[in-house]
Amino acid sequence: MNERGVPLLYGALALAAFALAFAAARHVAPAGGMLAGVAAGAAGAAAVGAAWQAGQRFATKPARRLARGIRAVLESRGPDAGLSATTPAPLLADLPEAIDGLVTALRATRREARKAAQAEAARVDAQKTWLEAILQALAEGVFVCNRQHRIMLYNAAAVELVRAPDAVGLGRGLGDVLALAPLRHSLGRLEARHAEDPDAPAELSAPFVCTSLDRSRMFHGRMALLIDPGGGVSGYLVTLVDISGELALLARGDALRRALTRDLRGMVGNLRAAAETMATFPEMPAPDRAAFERVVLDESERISASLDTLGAEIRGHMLGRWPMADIYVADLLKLLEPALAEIGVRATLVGMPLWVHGDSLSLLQALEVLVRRIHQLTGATAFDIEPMLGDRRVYLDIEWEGAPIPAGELERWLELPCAEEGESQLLRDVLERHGSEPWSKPAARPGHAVLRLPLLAPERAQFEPQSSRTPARPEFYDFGLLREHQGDAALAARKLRDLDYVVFDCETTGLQPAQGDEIIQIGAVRVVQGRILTGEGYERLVYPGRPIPPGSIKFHGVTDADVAGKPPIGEILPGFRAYAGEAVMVGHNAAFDMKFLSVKERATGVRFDNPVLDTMLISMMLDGAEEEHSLDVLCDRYGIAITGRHTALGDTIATAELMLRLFDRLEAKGLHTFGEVMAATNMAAELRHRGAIFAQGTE
Amino acid sequence: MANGSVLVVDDEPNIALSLEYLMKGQGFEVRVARDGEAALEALRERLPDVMLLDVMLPKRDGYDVCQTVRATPEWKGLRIIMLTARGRAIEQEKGLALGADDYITKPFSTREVIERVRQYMPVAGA
Repeated sequence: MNERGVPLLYGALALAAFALAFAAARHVAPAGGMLAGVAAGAAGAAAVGAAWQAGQRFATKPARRLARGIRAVLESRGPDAGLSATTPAPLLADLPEAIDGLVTALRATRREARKAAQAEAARVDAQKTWLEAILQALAEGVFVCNRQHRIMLYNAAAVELVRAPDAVGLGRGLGDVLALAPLRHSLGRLEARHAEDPDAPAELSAPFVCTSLDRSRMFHGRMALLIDPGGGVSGYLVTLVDISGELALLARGDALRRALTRDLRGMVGNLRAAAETMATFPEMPAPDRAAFERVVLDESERISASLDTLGAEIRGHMLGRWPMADIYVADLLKLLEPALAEIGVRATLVGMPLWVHGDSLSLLQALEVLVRRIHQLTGATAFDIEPMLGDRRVYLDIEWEGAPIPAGELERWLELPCAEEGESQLLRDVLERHGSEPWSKPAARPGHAVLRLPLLAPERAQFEPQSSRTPARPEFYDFGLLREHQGDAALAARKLRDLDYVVFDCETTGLQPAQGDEIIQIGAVRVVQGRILTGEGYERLVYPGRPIPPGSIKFHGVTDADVAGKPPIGEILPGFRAYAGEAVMVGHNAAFDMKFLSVKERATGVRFDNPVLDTMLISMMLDGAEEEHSLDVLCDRYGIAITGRHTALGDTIATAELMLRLFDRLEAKGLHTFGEVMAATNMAAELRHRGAIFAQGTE
Repeated sequence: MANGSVLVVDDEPNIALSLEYLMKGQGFEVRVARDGEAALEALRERLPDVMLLDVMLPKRDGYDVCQTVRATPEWKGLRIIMLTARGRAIEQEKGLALGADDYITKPFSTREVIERVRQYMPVAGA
């Protein structure tokens, strides 16, 4: 019998009790007549009604709750899912306890299974770590994409290279950061080649040149096909090197060549013509001769000035061509120590070590030659080396007790070879390449002298830590994306786990967006192929342009001081829009957050028209609206630990985990595609309805 | 709690950034101005203990700023250390004549800058 039958049965029973009692009363006291019969009948019916009430309270409702709990445990695959506290149900005897025991046993089994799986995963993980370390150490940017140009893997260098950290992510289109035309062309060419001759692996990689999407950088790339075991093309790997700087150098080189050939040739031509004319006509009148002499003088001066300029240009040109890197002065001195110790000389780094730019080995050799020479000339054995900060350069001050080096002597040193063995460069070559010209003078300390060596300033900031968006252990690849068949099916038909999600949460000054409440923080995290990519988390504080009500601070912990100087929402939203991309946006009570975003649409022009999924609505559909569905309660129910509750990112990660647990249960119910879930939850209509509630009384 | 406050005035971003870092490392509260007018604006907003003032600045140069400061009675307590180019004795003399308390020549030693600023801090305990 179904549940609806139960009240009917009780109704029939009450009717029967009424009839029976009525008949019995009439039989026992026929004189009492109708009234006694009705009273007895009513009492009988009331007794049945009371029994029904008791049954509802002590058996049916607890049993239903129990059944719901059991279903939840069964449908959830996690080992931490348990029954919520059961209410006393005397009519069910010890059934709840027995079921509780069963659930406990199931949890233990699940835990063991998970432990075994984790041990296996840890072993695989250890091997993966090596691959990851190697990949992250590569200086070339690496992207692996599927045939739809969606990123399945990237490394830190790739993120640095394209300079759009928020646009690089797993499952993202490579077209969001690079101009795709050359890649499409190369892919097409390689695929055609592969189809023609599948056994020619050497043919399966091709060089190409492409630009960043905004055309600010130019890359030299190489593409290689990824062939699956069946021989089909499943994707491709590209490595990228930034050649913007080299192109600029090439252009400068061209300009130099032009100056040498065209400009100088003209001047030399004039000079020669004048000289030849004077030689051919030795008897020419004095005024004419004077004019020719002036030509010779003028052109000689112009040539000489041009040669000076060109010389400087060429030196500058060479400066950029030699492979150079940022070097920490402390590292350089550490390497210098052993060589100096051999001759009984000690160099001490003084002051704060700075960064310089240069060719490390050449610089090291140059420093060694200089210190050795000073030691030989002055007998000094103790040197202080102090980096000095200049406007556009960094200087190394080498200080010793004794006299300064005479300029002529220093000039002679420049002609010394920089290293003892091999094809050594001269000290002058090395220093010129570093744009350096040393000089010596008395030091501020009495009786001491200093040799100052100007060096190139580093490309990095002197003291700021190099910002790296990529965390130490990022999730930077997901080959599950390979299996994806994008573009050939509508969103509704796609499997829940195949979709990209951006789970997000806004902390706000209050609950009424249309009455001036503002977003003060946005947190978001991407979920791709059922994996929460915490390494690609998004968290921004937003200046709300109004004070944060003290009452709301206890919910989000964000104070006026936290948001002071932060960008306003108009500056944040375009970046968040780029982060969200085309993903499904997910929130717990998403209507609330979407409303805050949509009220800004007119002012910012940023529109979030992504499909939206609400974890609260899914939970309501699964367990009925009468249960509580707050994030706290649900996390408790599913055994999800929240770190950083009520911070935008903490809530977001918890919501993402909740979403995955809910997916387990949806699938257990036979709901596999996005369309099925949207329909089952009546998601679109519910969201609209709830959105309208948030706007009520204000529009 | 900050041990003192410094206004760094330099238009070279590398220098300004480095000085800001060095001063913050000493526990000083630091603000940065990129030209002479911005420097005066920053002084009007709040008076620091020490101003590190570059000579070559856009809009109003370091001498001009120095002179204005000394002509403003309510800024009397401000200590000014000028950052001058190497070997330009004339710059140093001029700076001191216009009311600077001290000067440091560029390129400078990070050690020296820190020591010099601490020396001029009213609460310098070190």
